[in-house]
Amino acid sequence: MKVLIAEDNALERQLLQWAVESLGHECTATADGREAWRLYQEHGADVVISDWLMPSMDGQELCTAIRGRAMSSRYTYFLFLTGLADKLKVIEAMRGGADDYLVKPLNVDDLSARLLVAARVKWLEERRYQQHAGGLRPR
Amino acid sequence: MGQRIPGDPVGAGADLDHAALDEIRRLQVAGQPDIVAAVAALFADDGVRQIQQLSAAIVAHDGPALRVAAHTLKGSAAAVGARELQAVCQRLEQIGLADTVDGADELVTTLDAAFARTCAALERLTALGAEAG
Repeated sequence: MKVLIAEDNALERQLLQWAVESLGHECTATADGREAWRLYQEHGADVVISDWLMPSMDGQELCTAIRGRAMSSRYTYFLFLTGLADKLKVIEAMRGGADDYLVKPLNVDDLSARLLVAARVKWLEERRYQQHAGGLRPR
Repeated sequence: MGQRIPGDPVGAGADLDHAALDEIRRLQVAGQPDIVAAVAALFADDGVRQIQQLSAAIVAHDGPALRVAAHTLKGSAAAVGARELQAVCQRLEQIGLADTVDGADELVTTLDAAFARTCAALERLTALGAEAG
């Protein structure tokens, strides 16, 4: 899958990128939400993994922008990065359109599990799209 | 903090949580430069910048800026398992969250010392990795 990371902390961003790539995904990483939004509009992404607190455009604004795109565009699975102390924000984030969250510091198994679910959701969405387009006939 | 790290018989990383470092080592790609060395360099470079931003925020009496700088450094500390540094950053973040810098100045000395100890522990682990490699 194509994964886009928005994380302003250079060390955490690098570790996350290494982890995503180690799981066999294509990855682009950026330090702020506005740049992530630009990259998303330009290249798209199957999955966005975003920090909450970032300069210029925070994670929630990025999520809102992505969910505000035309309904005809393909679904993007949105994962928030959050600290343990910020877990109360998770429900707020899910209401705002996020699909799931990852607790910092990064755990590779947790990331792997989330990306497996993301791949399944993307597969279901792709199948539904093809059925709708007549590419697959329902049984 | 203070736990012996597997593969670290002399306790070079005694100031760090081994679980965080083990997680980082899982990302090591065979044939590529030592990942702990790369992380140590990134942590030190970025950490110095984050401490500068944090100090500037205190001087400017800018609570929100203190909160952001402390939050960022806290993330780096958590990533390498530097629990002591993480705890000081947490306290500074809480001060900034209250939209003040009151009491932050007194914590900077503790912060500097914890940061220096973390860098030294990572350097020792890097040297140990180089010797083993």
